[in-house]
Amino acid sequence: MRGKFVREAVLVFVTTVRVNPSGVPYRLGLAIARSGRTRLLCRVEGAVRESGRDRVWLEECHGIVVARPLRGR
Amino acid sequence: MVREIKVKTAVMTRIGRHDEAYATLAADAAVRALADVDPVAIEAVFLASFAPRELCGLADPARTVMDAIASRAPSLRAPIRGPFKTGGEAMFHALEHMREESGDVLLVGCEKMTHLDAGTAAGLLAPRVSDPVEERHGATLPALAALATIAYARIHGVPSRAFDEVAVKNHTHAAKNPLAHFQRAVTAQEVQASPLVADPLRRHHCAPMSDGAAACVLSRDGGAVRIRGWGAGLDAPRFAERARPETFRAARVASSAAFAMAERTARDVDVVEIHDAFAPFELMNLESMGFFDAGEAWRALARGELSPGGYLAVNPSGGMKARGHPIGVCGLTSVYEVVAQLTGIAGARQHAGAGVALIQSAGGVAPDCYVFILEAAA
Repeated sequence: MRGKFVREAVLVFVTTVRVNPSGVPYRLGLAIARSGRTRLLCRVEGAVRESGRDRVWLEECHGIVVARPLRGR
Repeated sequence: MVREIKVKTAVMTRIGRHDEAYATLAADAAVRALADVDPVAIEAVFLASFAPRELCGLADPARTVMDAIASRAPSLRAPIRGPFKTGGEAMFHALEHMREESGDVLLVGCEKMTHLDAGTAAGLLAPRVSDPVEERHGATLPALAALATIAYARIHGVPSRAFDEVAVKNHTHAAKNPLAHFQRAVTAQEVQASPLVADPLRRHHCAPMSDGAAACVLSRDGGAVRIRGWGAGLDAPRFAERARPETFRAARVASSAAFAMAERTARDVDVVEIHDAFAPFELMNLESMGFFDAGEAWRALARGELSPGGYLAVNPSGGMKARGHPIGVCGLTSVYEVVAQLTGIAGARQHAGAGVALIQSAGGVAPDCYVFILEAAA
């Protein structure tokens, strides 16, 4: 499902959260919008290299910002 | 002239798993701290406990603790304040209180966590450690710590083995501390073989969930250790909004204030008990407080200079990582350790000639931080 478009960003840091209340691992990242002024915590979906330079789209779905690879959009 | 504030008594329980009720554990520590003190002289009680409502279901933890203490020390009639979320926060407010008042102060810290599994505890604690928006995204404390660690390692080129060595060092220290949660050393290989929590952080990089309590009495009338300076610092509560996630601004601000008040610098300090809930945080905090340049603390660690007998004894108790981590108690367990070090009774983990010590107390990924400078009384 596609959510509301927010903006293009660079995903600078990503971790996989393995110990969490759901018991199901998920990826959490820190993204910086292209303008450089906005930094957002986001859930990460899709194939990213975790190089610190992944270009992503940030979309907001039900109050959650999700980062997806730019090339996959 | 205002008389200086001293630590009159400092006690702590064994850290680990306790079957006693929360209030019983807190009262045990408090009553021991009052053993050689006239309870009538206590003017106020400050409770440190991070999440007693969430973890233990206590509706009014301060009242519960005070009732338990009063049942065993009936002449204690002081009001109780708190709970403050860390021992450092409680001590900061106690010291500020003592600027204006003349009586003694009792500080009590207690936490019980081991009845919960890690995932459940992470969920219960998340609202206390994360901004609501970030919590909604799944930002557990280890998750935010992992992002800070990645930032630190990448920006300063710190090798991941350095984080393993912090855990190895602190377990080695804890093995010499009879009150520590962990009583055995670990190897770097064991650290690397432990399960991932939030990569790159593995279980052995993370402080355990612990039960425990600690207490101390601060006074202007006697005590072997004096508190020379203290300070507080803040950072952005929302982690993503920090301009530099690889460093701890709150620690820098708090330590600068404490050093200025004490008229000391980092070079004067012999022993530190600092925030190492996640192993990389020990290095990041040492650098944030000016003990090393950014990205350099791991080199001193690799040379073995951060243990008793070295250049600077860092977490000789074993730290949160290995002494154990009853969250809100930790600033007060640090008082116990520093008093032991400064009075020369720390036994096998004694740092010879310890004269000046620093305590750092912070919660979570350090949106706020408290630093204290203590010295052996002349």
